[in-house]
Amino acid sequence: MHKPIHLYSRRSFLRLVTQASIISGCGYALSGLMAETTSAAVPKRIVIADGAISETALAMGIVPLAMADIPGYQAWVQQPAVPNRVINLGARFQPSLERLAQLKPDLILTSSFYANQYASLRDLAPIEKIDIYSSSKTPFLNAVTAARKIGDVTGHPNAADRLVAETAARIEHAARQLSTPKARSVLITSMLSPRHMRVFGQNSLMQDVIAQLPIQNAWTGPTNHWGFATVSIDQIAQYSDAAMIAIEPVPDNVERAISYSPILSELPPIKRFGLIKMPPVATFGGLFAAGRFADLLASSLSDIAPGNDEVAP
Amino acid sequence: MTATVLNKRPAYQGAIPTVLFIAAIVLSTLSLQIETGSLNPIAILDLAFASGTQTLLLTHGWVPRFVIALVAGAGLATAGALFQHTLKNPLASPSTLGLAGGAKLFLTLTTLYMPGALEIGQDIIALLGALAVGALVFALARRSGFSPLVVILTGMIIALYCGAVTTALAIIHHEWLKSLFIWGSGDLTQDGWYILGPLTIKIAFGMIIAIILARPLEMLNLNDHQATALGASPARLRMLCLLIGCWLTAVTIAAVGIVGFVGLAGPAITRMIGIRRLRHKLIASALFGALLLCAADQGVQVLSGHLGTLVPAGALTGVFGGPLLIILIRQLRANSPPSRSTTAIPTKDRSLRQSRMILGTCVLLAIAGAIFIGRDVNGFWQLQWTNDLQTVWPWRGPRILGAIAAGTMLAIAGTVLQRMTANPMASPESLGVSAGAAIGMIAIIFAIDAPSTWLQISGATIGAFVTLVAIFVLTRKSGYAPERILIAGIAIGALFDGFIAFLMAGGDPRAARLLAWSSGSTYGLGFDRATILAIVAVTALPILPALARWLNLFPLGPITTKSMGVDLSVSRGSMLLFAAILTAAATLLVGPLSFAGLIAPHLARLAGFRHALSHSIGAAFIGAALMVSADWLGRMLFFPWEIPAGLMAAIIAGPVLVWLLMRIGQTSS
Repeated sequence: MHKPIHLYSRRSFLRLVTQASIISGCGYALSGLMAETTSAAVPKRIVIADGAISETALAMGIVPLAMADIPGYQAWVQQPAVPNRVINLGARFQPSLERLAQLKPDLILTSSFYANQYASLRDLAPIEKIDIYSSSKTPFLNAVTAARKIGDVTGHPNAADRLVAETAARIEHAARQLSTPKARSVLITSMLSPRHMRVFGQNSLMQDVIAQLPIQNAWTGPTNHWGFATVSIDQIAQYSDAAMIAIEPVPDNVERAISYSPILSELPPIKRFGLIKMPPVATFGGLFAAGRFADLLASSLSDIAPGNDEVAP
Repeated sequence: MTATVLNKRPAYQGAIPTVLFIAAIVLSTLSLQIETGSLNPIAILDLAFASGTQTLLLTHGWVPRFVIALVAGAGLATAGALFQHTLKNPLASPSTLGLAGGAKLFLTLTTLYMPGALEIGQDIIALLGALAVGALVFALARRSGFSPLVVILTGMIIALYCGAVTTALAIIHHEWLKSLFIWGSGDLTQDGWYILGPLTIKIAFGMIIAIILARPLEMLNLNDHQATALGASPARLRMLCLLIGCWLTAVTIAAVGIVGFVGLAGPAITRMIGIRRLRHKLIASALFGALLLCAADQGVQVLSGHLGTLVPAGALTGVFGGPLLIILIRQLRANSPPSRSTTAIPTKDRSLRQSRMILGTCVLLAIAGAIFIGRDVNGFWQLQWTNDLQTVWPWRGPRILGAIAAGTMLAIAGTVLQRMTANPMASPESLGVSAGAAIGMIAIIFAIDAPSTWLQISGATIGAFVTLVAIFVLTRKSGYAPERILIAGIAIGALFDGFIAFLMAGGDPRAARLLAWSSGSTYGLGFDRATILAIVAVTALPILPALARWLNLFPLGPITTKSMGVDLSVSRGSMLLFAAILTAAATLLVGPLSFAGLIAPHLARLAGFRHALSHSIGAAFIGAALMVSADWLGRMLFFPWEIPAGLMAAIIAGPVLVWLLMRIGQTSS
């Protein structure tokens, strides 16, 4: 009853199929051409698609050709600084494959968390998977192993030894500073709103560092795979002896809320020690972050003025 | 016109409010015991008037939280009842107009680009966002006299659009928006009375006006001619009703974040127990909404102690609300489908041949552009040829092929669904198959430490298959009635949204990746999977002529179709299966990116393709062109950052759809 039908005839349909198959055939041929890659003995063109590994490598003096999410790194990790010449790859879980292909890397460093997202990259360059946060729940030990592995695969084993020794020294120094701390126990938090925060505990790098210091992590509650729990403010009220440390950046509205929110201002840890802010440190970091955290923790806890005299020595 | 109740099982229907009431009391008691450590009223009173942290947490934490659940639940449910009354659609809810999406978009933009402005208060910015979207919907719907169809469509598109932009930003700036994800999941934790006080006044104000005006608003139950004959102005009444609903929704969202399901369920329960008068409906809805949110939030408080992570009430209502919706709606029978595509869409006076030529050129241009225009290693734009192209081709080629195939399949599925259900809102997503696939994928990602791509695809396949079987089982009795299918799809979609909100609020890093996939990404597609997709798409084409007769008849309504000798069950069942397989295949390989499936059929019709076969093939071409351009823009615009193709398609096509709607509005007034 309608004219258009005969315009989609069998013949035109077949023509379409033929054309489509030719196009995809060309695609195959081209992809076959592309598959050959050469691998050098000592990798020079290294790209990194994981925050903790970037941080560890930079701390070891290994500057990658490119790394993922540089703006994010600069905001949330900061140290060690990223040189300007490092190229941005985009999101960590979706690094731009086209840019990666154009960079022609000879080694890709990433964690298996991200690596399984782009298994096809193996055609382009060897992938080295390095995991710090895993089900073994020993991030500090994993971070040491990761540093050594990064050293081995990039041909800088001495740099790894140096970083491990430096970190140990920093933690030891922090432990000495904290021999007479203002507070015996701490809550390490990342504030999200006046009513919500992440609190770090078991399976976090911070927990492993605190375990090497003469203080305690007050949060012994359950945490997730990444070592933190998202909690509401009432859940930390019971820790009256603990100092509450908020890793920066702290949202503006949190500080304002202290003046008008009855619970926030009366919260025992805040009432006693105030809200102690700590400069940014990678909360899912590697070995360098561990050392930096120990430093920052020691200086935070020695700077604070106790609001109450009866603090246990 | 409104949905009526089957009064077959009054005992069962009366039981739901009772169960709700008991659940609210039991859960409140439990959580009070957890909070205070005792259930002795005297001990609790002593504690309340003592001083100390425990007292503070009780009087400034638990009590305001308990009250705010009641207030917010009442406000949302009243708004839902008003929307359902005005739009004559039992599925309308506070989220129908996209106010929450607007609030979230405003908050996201402010947090990222004007953090200083947050000083005036998160709630004020959220309120401004919600009201801005409300004003936009009003402006667009005014010309059609607030016709329910136009209001629903406009709201839905604006909601989709705001959601797409927000998600695109969330993918790039994930870490910065952590606190916003908590807001978006509707957690009711309180730290004082300073939120509750103003909210109560605002909600009471809206509710009192609604109850006072209930009598004149009742006129909307009549059809427009009858109402006009009685001296009322249906357009003005609808505007008034929507205005109060918008106010209630906006102030609640601004204060407590996004709590979705209560606004739908409160009025649904009211309708089930057979309340007819609008005034009584509003009061009963408010009561049930308050009880529902209170029960959910108290349950959350009992639960979160055991889970070690934040369980926001808003996300929970989504997770449990989905299945509940199916149960509730089984009791309902709509006298007329929610909306019909009988509204004529004007077409330009242009020959089909010309349309086809323009369309073909567009597709070719889009593909050529996607292949040859790219960015070099430093990010500069470049016409890529020979060597440059060869370098990126293994990563670019499959994505282009995949985008073409997915666009084609989704557009065909969308056309089939829109014609079959005679509902212009139907899209592949409304089948729920993509949400089912996504849930299967979530299960795999969270069960296994670092699952491979193929393992994730298997999880998604199982999810899609289970959903498909569930939809067939749930709708079989009704002969695969379109309304039932859409409701089942909405329910499964709500379940998935609840999961995502919960994961995002908990701050799990895996959630960001999931977000990117669920917005329809061709990322990491290889030639192997892209070819499978292309084969499925090509296989679908020869089946279309077999469905053409049904597809031509169905938009005329089930009665006409049946009188032409079509077996409704068989034809609906086969078309459903066809659309579902296409959707599932596209979803499994490139994520649930269904916006192309919603808009392509509309655009094809606008271009003059009316006959079912030419309509679906025209839509297929438009879908392919849209997806290829969206994928290309998503890859290149913010290089090396990527916006998933599904989101980009929504961002490109949203304004086009709104423009289209304005034309519908102009002609129907």
